Amino acid sequence: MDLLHHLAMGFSILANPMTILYSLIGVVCGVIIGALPGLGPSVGIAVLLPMCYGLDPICALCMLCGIYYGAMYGGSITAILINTPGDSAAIMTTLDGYPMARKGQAGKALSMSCLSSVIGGTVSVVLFMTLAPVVSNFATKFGPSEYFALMVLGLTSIAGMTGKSPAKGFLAAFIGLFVAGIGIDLVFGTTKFVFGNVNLYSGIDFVPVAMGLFGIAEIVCNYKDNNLEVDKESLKIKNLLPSREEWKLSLPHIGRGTILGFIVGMLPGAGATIASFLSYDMAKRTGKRGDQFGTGVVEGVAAPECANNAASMGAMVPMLTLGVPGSGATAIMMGALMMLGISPGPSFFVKEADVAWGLVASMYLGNIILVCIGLGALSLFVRILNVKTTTLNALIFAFILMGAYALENSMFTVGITLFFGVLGYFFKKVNVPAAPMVLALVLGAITETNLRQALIIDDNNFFAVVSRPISAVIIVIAVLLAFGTPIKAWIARLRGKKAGA
Amino acid sequence: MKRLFSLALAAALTLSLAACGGNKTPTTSGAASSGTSSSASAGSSSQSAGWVPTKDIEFVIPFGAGGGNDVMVRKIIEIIETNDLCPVNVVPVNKSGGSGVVGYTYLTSKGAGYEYALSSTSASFYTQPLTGNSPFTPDETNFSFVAHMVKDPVVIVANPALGFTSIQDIVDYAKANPGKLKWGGVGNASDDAIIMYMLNDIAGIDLVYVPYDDSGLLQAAVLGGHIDLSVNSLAEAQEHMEAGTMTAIAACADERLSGLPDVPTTGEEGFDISHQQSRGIVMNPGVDEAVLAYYSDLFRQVSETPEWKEFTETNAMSDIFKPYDEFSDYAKEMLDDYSTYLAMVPQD
Amino acid sequence: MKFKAKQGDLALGILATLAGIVILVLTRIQGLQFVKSAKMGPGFFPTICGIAISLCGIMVLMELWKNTHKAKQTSGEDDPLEQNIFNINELRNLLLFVVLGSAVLLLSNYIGLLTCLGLCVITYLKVQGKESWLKSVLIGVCMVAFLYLVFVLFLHVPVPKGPLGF
Repeated sequence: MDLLHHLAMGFSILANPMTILYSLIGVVCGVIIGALPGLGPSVGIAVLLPMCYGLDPICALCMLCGIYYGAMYGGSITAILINTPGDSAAIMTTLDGYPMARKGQAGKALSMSCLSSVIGGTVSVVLFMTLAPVVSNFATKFGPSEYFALMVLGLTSIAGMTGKSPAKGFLAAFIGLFVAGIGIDLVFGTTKFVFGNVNLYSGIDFVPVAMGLFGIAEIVCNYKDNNLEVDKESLKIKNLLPSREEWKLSLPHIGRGTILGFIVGMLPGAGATIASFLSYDMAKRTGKRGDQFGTGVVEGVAAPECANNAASMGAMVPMLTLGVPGSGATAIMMGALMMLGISPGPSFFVKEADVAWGLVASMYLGNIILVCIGLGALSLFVRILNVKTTTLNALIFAFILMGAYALENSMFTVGITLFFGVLGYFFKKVNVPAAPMVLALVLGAITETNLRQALIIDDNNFFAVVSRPISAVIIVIAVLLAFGTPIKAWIARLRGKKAGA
Repeated sequence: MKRLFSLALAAALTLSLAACGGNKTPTTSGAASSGTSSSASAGSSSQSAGWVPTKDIEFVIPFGAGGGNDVMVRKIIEIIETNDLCPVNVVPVNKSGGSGVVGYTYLTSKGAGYEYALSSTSASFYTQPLTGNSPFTPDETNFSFVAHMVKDPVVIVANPALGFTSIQDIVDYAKANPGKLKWGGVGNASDDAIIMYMLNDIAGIDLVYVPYDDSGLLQAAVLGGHIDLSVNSLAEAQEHMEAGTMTAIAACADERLSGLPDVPTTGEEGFDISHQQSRGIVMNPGVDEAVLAYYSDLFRQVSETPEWKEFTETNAMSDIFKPYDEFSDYAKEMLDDYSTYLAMVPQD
Repeated sequence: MKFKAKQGDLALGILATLAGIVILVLTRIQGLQFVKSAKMGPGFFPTICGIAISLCGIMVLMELWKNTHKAKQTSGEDDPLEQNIFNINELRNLLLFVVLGSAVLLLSNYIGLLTCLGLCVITYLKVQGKESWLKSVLIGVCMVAFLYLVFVLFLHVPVPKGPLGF
């Protein structure tokens, strides 16, 4: 079989211990950078790029892929331990990961995160290998109208995260949408709600907002009496890993999440964030313990994690087959590849077959190393929670502020984090959920951009925008998801009435 | 004791990371150089001739990663690194947004006379202030001009499904179907837009402009047929043109591009819209002349390396290096040109 | 400060309604039009958000009214609306973080970001954690060292530096 032959060729390239070493370096650095609040794979790749000058391209590739995967996992570590998502893809992990940590199950959350990430990553590499040439056109079918529809789908899934009070959930979402609109207008170049502050020209990035809303708001609420004690019992291996029961519950979600993540990840720009929360939403609606999502169930960690790793793999599809980067991190990776003399594009797999398959093999390698490191360092991570609460608070506070600064090398970002931290505290007190706000912030900008582009393309005919085949299908799904439950309930009531009368 | 051990392990790990990351440790670490760093960061203009940088230099890229400007700057940095042209690290910093305004804002936030930050420029450097969307007029009050590097011609591309093979085809179709053809570009008053408006003006048609923030998405849109026409730099679209997924119509250049010898120039087609993007490097205003001379010379060295020649050759860029004193005048010329072009862009 | 949940909800509802209106007013003031030259103008989304936020505010008030109405009929002890929402410990934390955070914002450019963060850690540990001076300073110094190693040396982040060179 041609495929196996290629893969064997790829692996033979990797048999060199140097590649394993570089992959290891990449993964470790990636995990650390990903764990730093706010910094994600793009920073990791950008920072370690100078190390790649003069390296053999395969070694450099192994390192870059290692960083990519490591950073995706790293973001979940802080999400679970201190409720501060390291990047947008980790936001959903906080919803169940952090409650699990509070219940003393941090080890399980971390290990499930690692394992489902790796499963998602590995399966999607297989999907990539088999499908890449075939589905390369998929990404191009999505123009502004289709993206807009996808964003609408994403926004409706927010409705499912409103908790007990839909009004408050939607309030959070609309505040998020509003904040997303601050900055310079795409079409006309005018400034919106900037009030002359140059720092706001590019809008408010969601990362400092998330760090404030999730991270700072959380440490404000941590005080002495709430100490999280991690006792010796919970550090034993059997308590650090998910039980068989939990695996049985999670596997279907992992399967679905991976496929969903891969497909969504293939769309340039959409990426890991949307994949992770579509997966979470799907798991919530279809899972046996769906109504317990948010209180700390392990499937709630498995679903978004496998999806976001699958999405990072999916993002490589347009990058390598079309030369179109699928996300910020892949854009930098593409720049790196071009500097190494490799130019991804339609003929990449044909012209540079050995590099291409070496790349694929290095992704497998990265996944394997990730498992080893992730599980090996598990007890170390969990022990972090053993530190006294007040000390932990002080350290986390300094950590978050430093991360906020490092994002854009600007004190303004620190100010934003603090502001949203205070706001987040008050929101917590009145039960306004933070997740919808951040998600709306992430999606809002893209939604507005794409809607406006779509309207220009379709000459302001909104109906035309939503009636394009792919857009229409997605919007119908969105409507069903949004109104599905009430409609079902209404139909049930009608039936009940008929039966009773 | 176990805790102490794990703490030590963590410390060792972090230290080894620090060693990994800093291949050229800047000389500001350590007490001995704190004197140098404080005088450097005071931004004093009392530097003598023969200025040499003593801490890392930030090279601001006011545009997104992967775009033409980004690729060029990273190539410059790579050439500096491999040829050891500079004693400190040059660190690329992407600050995209507002068609360059965010990047220039960041640059100028460092303060007048700051010697350790540079920025690349492109067309938006001239166009944004002219459209009133940038407070940074391209003159000495806001910037010091360092060097002009290249002129970057673009190629007009079309979705092959439309069957266009020349600009005349586009014009004919547009006249027969007014308002139907969509032209995508990055930014709303950038070169991509200017070329379209010039064509509209000369040919008397009304192509519709669709602004994008991200060239990656724009590419995907053209490939997918959502956008009919666009302009691409040679680097960005060569693969597609060769693979036939995009049709190269004409090159906006003075001569045919060596990478695409079969594609006529816009001049040959009879439409004088060979407007080319220029890329240069600027710094904060009021920088000392010795500093400007240093950087200007640094980039002159870059432009003379064989790697740079190869880079510009492959990407069909016109290598027009101008040192800092000439760039300033050149910029004034370009500002005038742009004023004329922008008069063609409809102001709402 | 004793605040009951229902008062919190009331405040939220009113503030949200007002906020939405403020957004609408600001949109007008900035001249952001709803529709501009036959395309969606820059004011389109902010206007919609403003209206939506106000509506949500009103909905919050309506939910509150519905819940208090229901509670009056059951009048249980565990009515979530009657709970106090503020906890004195949390408020102390909040105040401390706000003060320390502002200090970081204001002083970083003078004495260096890392120095400020170190001082934050020490202050918090002394005030909230009631630790000894030795322990506080030790932890503070370790934290600064860690941040320095990771962010400045490894990641080359240009932090505002103080007179001590970091």
